[in-house]
Formats: sequence, C-alpha cells, structure tokens
Amino acid sequence: MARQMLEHPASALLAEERPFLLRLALLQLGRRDDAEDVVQETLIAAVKNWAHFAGKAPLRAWLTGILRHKIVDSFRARREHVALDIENESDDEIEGMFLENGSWNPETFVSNHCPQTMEAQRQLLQVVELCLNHLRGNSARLFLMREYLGMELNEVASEAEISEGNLRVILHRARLRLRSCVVRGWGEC
Amino acid sequence: MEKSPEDRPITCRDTTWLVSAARDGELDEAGHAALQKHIADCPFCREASQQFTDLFRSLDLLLANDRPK
Repeated sequence: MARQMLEHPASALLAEERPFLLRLALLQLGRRDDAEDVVQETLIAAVKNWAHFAGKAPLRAWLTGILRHKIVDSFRARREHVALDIENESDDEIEGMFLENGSWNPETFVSNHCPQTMEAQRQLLQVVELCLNHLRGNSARLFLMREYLGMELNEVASEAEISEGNLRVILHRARLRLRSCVVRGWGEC
Repeated sequence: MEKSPEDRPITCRDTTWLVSAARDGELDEAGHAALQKHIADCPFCREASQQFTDLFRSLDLLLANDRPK
C-alpha cells in the first residue's frame, strides 16, 4: 500500500497535508504512534477513494473529515477511558481578562477584528491552528472531542471520567484562551 | 426590595459562559435573551461576541465541521 501511495498522482498533494493532519491527530490522541497510525490510515483511505473526491471540497477539509472517522474508530478500538488530570491548571490568563466586578479588563481586551480578504482568511486559519496547538494537552483533547469529533457533552465527560460541570468549565476556558490567542493573531494578518 | 439572582444584570464574564453554552447548544431562551440584552448595552461584549462568532466560523472551517452543534 505504501508503494501505491507513493505512485499515486496525488501523492505530493497528500504529503503536503500530512503535517496538518498529524498535528490535529496528535492534539486529539495525545500519543504520537496512535496519531501516526490514524493519519496513515487516512491517507490510505484517501488514495483508495480518490475518484470520489474529485475536488468537490478543499482537499484539507476532505482529509480532515476522513481523519475524524479514523480517530473515532481509534477511540472505540482502545476501549479505555483516559482519566485526565485537570485540577492544576492555572487561571491567571483568564483572571487577567476580567476585572473583579466581572467586566472585561480594558487593559487586556484586544479589539482586533477578523480580516475579510481571501488571503487574510487563509492566514486566519493558520492563526487558529497555531492557537489550537497552544491549548494545554488535556484541555485540547477534550475541546476537540467536542468541537472536532462532535461528541456530546455527556460522552466526553464519561470518556474523561469527569463531571459534565467540570467539562463545561474546561470548554469555557479553552474557548476564552482560544479567542484571546486568535484575536492577537488577527492583528498580524 | 432586593432583586432575585435571576433579575440581577449579568456581567461580561457571565456572557462568556452563555456564549460557550450556546456553542454547545445548551442555551435556553431566557439565556439567549439575557445575552442579547447585555450585548446590546455593552460595547466590549458586542465586540467579543463578534470575535467569538468569527472564531467559531474559522474553527468549523479548519475542522471541516458541517453539522449543527
């Protein structure tokens, strides 16, 4: 199969997308060997089904969709819950966003807006990807179970052996951190 | 007469909880109304709300999400 992949006319295009897929899989699975496996399976599936792709969607989006299924399969195959240590995360960054009365802190509030040009939009996706990589490991995994794999809150909480209340706190923090990181990046687009 | 907790105005920090709940499809009508009322009166939250909207749109694009949350 490896030879078939190398000789496939789209092999160069697929190879270009591999680093993105690997980063995403690693964020989600947390183990490099597991991530390598699901990405390899994704690329093999892409080669097998290349005729169905036919450029109907951006290649990265198509591959990201295939990878999603491979990651879900990997979770199911493991049949193990991953208890996560989430208790010791510092809140300093988030505390700094607000004043004591619950208002946004004007000194730390960033006013940048999402740029609208096509080139800026492309860069914007890179900023979001970079910021995703800056989420803390366990938070990133839970965040992506919800945002990428589309798992329900109770499923994610059960998988991580935490309460749904704790999960809501983690998702809230992750979204605040992501917004904070991304809006700073928008200033660079 | 002291206002009940439900009647007290929400803070900017509270709105970020509501935005997060809305993203998970968990915000009820009263929550939506409270969020919209606060956003209408608060320029910071108006801006932050738009930033969250743009962020979630980018996230959906990046992660190839096409299903409702």
